[in-house]
Amino acid sequence: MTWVIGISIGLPLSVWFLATLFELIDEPSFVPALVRLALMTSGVLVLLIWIGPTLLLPFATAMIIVGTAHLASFVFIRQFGTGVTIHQNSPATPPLLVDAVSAHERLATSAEAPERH
Amino acid sequence: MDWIKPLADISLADLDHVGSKAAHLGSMLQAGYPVPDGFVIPIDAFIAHFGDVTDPLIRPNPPRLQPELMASVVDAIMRQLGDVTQLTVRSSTADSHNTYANFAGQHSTYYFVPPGRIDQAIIDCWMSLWSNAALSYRRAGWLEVLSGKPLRAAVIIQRMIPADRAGIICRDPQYPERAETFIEASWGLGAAITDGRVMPDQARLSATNELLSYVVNDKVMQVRPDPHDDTLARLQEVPEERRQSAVLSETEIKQLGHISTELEHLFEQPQEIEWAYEGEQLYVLQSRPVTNRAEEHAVADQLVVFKPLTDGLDGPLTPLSEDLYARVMPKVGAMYQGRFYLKLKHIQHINLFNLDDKSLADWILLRKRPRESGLSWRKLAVAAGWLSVGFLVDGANWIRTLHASPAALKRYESLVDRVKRNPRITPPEALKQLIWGQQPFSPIGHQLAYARLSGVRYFVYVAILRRLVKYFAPDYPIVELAQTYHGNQALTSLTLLNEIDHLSSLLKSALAKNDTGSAQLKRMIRGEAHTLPADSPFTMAFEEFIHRHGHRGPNEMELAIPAWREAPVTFLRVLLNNPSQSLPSRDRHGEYLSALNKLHDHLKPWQRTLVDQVLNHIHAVIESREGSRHYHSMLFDVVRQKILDIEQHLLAQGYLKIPGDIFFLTYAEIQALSQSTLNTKDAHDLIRMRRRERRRLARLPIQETVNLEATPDPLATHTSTIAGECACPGRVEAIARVVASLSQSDKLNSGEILVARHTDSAWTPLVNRAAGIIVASGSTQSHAGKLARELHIPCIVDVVSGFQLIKDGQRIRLNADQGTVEILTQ
Repeated sequence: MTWVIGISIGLPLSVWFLATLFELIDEPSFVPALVRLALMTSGVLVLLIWIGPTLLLPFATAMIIVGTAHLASFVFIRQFGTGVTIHQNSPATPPLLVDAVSAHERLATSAEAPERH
Repeated sequence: MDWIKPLADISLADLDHVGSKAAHLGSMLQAGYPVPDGFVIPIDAFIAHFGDVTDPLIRPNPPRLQPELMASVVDAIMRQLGDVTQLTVRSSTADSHNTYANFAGQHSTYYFVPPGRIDQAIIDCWMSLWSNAALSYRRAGWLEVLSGKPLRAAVIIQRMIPADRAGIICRDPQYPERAETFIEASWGLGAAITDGRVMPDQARLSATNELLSYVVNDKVMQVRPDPHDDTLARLQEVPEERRQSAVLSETEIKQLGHISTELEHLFEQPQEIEWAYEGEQLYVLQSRPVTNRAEEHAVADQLVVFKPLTDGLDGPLTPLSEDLYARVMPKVGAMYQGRFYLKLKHIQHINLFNLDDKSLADWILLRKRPRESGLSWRKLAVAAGWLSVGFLVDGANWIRTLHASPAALKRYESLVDRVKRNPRITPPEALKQLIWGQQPFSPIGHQLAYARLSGVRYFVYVAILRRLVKYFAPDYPIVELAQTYHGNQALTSLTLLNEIDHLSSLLKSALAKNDTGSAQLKRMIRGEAHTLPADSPFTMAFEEFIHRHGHRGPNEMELAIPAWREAPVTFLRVLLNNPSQSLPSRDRHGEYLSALNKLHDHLKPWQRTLVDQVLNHIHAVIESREGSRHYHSMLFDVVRQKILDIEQHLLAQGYLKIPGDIFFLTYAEIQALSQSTLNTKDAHDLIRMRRRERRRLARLPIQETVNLEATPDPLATHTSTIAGECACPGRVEAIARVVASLSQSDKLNSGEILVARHTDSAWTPLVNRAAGIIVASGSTQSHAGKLARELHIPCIVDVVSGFQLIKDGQRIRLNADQGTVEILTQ
């Protein structure tokens, strides 16, 4: 139960915490973000003191999950989430010519029977 | 066998023996049209040399011409063409709709061929059927391979016309029901136009052959005989003094219009005609049936055009732009005919309403939502689950965008600078880094995509505001609500407008002085000089403006279009056509405050507080969106500069012919070309074909859906009503001014209603001058829509049905509240 409560509260809190951490580097002046961060951290500490340190591990786990997910999202979007089909439905945008040239031998203009592509 | 057939003896009945092109030429010659004299080597001669070619994938050896054929050719040249010194040689296939013939093989046209080299020209013409480009098409499975028809072609040999001027005539494909004729004309041979090397002059004639418009464009290139070897046709620069002068007189335009009508009757269908003038003598070089669409492969997916990205384009993207953007687009999208589309099946996954495919397409097209849709609770539950996962994964970035200040967005400039200065970052990588960020711990100002996507909050806040106002003040005229959250004077777009106005007045003051500086400015505007006068207040202000905004320009997303910094003369002309002084002064901020006061009068104090909170959020989102637009336009400039660096290298090495060609190759092809794994000739063939295709697509209306029947416009059958989407409410009655392009911008007078097919940031001064705006394409989120709302100018967009009814000079009533236009006088 502690874990359920800890993770349920910890996950959204971690997202906000991470966002506030990032805001330290986003803005030229990091003071407002620092104040928000300090308030958040105080709030979490109060919560931990009130409920008990048993929440510490679930909270920490939630933060690790969110941090990892954030990193994975960056990689995923750049590597797998982008790149779309160009529908070549007209012959004026033919396939890469280099395929025709380099992947297959050029037909030699000689007396020998030419090879089929 | 008859090895030769004179053109004068050929008619359409001979099509199967001499090919479509030759049959049409012969028919025209017999009907008395000025076709250059010549003869045809029929298809039987091809068969005699190659046999029946049933497998088009095997390239045969070039044949030796049979002696009887050579003798017949020589005899025909001497008897028919006399002392001719130069000939044209080209192929003519039997199937005029043959996909291959329209592209790969069609370009086997040889100009300025001396009679002594005719045999090689004939062989080259035949062998071009097996060029690498043609083989590539066949391998890709185009119609020719699937049809099983044998491959064969005739050869047409004619007297060469060393054209001073040439062009094409065709029926306007955008509005075929209007039966208007469209003429393109440029200097030199018509190859410069058909190969897309030049932006020709464009004339439009009505069905009764009245001249409707003539646009003189900047004709930079022409095809003329090589100055060192007049047996070769060469792409050359047009002399400065001719670049912006009209190619045709009105009499000549009408003469061409008459010929188009007559040939349409002769061949019983609309024709695309190639013509040329040698001095004052007109020649008709070719006539073929108009086909709007070549044979096409079926597209598997259902696609809907994504207007927020397509609005900023005046025509399809060039192949390189399309290739680079395709690499960074999220996988819910697709590229089709050079434009951005969404795949309907992916959007259905996030569709929370009971919308079928057609209704969902309407929603994506930013048209009115169908009233009968209801919320799907099942889908909402599923969406809530996915949103929760999405929040965990990417919620931090979303929250950062909520708090991002203008100063945070300004940090984008440092990323742009870093990417620009690093030569190891290639154009595709530059685009990826400038949109999606360099590394996961970048400041939010470096992650442009998130800043732009956060603009979707605008719709959420506006929806909340509308609900609140409707609930609190049911008597308030909701159509006026938009004026309470637009008109913030601090917007970047308005700052730009004010600076342009200031520059414009400085320019006009400078021109009014009768000194060397004014003369220098006038020469620069005419394209005769390239530097501004020194020590002039205008020059200092202009350079300051270019330093800050020089990365902007028309059609910014198209990487092939130069920015204002690269084409200062273009921007000078924009300034010249901006009559800011003649505008009656208008207190737009006062109008905004007045609208806000009117809203407050309908609300109780505690309701005002709540509504003002939402309004503040909307203002913040608009400011953030407009500010990020200013920065994101920098990324196009950076990517373009990197491409130009590569182009410079390829031009110096002789791999490319002219500046601009690079944008018609994909990035992989550019790499292959620079590594010499792509043959230069094949690359030039590709470039030529793609230039033609892009010009063809640019003349056609945007296909809003693919594999999906669009919801019919209920007003389409009511031909006297013109309707669109309201981008900014209001009503105005004034003269309509149809502006086809920026070169016609001086047509619009203050207080008139601007009617345009498309606008972008370069149109900003015109938008400012208009009393009302009607745009054929685009959405409410387009440039015209956004600017109209900021300036409180009544505006409707996406005027699909009946747009063709608005004629220049008509008095019209624009009711943007209802999204309709009424024509008051003819």
